[in-house]
Amino acid sequence: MTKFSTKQILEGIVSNDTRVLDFIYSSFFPVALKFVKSRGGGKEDAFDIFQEAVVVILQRVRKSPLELDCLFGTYLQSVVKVLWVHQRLADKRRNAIIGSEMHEYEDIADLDTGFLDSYHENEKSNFIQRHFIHLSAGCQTLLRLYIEDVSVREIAEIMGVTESFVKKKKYECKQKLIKRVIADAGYKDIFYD
Amino acid sequence: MLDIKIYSMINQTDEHLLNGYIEGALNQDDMKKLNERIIENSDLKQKVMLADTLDTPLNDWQSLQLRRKLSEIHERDSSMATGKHFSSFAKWPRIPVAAALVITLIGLSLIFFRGHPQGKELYGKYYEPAEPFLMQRSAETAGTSDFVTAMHYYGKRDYVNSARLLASQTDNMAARFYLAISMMELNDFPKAIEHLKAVTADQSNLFTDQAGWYLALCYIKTDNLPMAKSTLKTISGSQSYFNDKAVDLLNQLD
Repeated sequence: MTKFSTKQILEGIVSNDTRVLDFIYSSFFPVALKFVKSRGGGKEDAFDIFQEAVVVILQRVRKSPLELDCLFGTYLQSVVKVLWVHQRLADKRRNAIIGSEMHEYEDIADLDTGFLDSYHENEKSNFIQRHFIHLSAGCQTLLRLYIEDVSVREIAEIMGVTESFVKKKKYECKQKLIKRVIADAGYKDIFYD
Repeated sequence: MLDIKIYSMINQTDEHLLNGYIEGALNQDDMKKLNERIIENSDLKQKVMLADTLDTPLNDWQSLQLRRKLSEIHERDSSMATGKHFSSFAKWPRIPVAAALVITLIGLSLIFFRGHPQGKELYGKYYEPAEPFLMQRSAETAGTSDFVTAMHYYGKRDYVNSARLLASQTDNMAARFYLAISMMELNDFPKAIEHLKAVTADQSNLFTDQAGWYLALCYIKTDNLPMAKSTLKTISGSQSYFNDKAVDLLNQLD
């Protein structure tokens, strides 16, 4: 598999380049998986955190240029660790984090805390996005077109359905998304604070 | 109507108002009622606020696309890991008879997992979106026509907007081809297949070969292997640019 420089990786994240994302996943997901497993999480927990970390890095890079004085893998792993701690602090197991465990993450603070601002700014948004991508492809396309201010007539034309179907479906898709978000155990922590 | 359990903290009137709000169907009086109710009911207020904030994250299509692509890679990796897990049965038995059985199983599993890779895995390996048509010109003259503007969006991987503009030009086979690829990127494979079939059926355009190739990939993605093989056989027996790729992919499916 082709190797990429940090600059190429950051550009690849912004441009959603499949080869770069394949490289990021195959090179760095095993490290994140090992970290999360060693702290009692499973493979899907690890992927959720890993995906969140890559998205947070995208949002950080879009905000201002990111100059790293470490390898990309080191940076990504730091973001994974911080997000893991944040998630643990947010969930009901917060009491399980004892002082000694928190010391483990102190070195991360020096690396680049800019991503933490991006993380907090986008926390609600990212939470909704995590559920959005689990809606059916039809719902995703429809809601996206609707948000783009595409007219109902045009949406019907693109999707090959009637206008009344689009109206009904739009409502159903929004309801499905709301249901998913509310049913998530983390909903109250994020939206009620 | 929503499942009442989801809105357990609000009564039926509130639920009706909330549903109407989400649907965008409240009249002035109902809006007034809703505004009064949210002062009294913090749970209802939170839900209205959630409905209001739903649109914002969906505007960040770049992040959504990134999530989608990472999820696809993860799914592909997980399905391959299942295959590896299957072949790890070799460690299991110690007695000779069981060992012989395991060797047979390993052989079968290797044939199965190597000879017949998962459709999604093959799709991920072979699929790349088609290069945009007229990219140079589109950069210079974006906005001069819907097709050029659509290609401009397509080149920027904004497939929603490319699809939006191309959908009204389906008489143009180039537009229809790129509409199909946009639909593939939006994960709407039935629509992509419909458009690709139309392009391949029209033999008098420049996109017939490409459309055939992407049609085969759509069939693989939707687990329609008989149609995928049939389409690939047609390509492999033709003078198509995708001839070699089709033979290669066909060998992996056989």
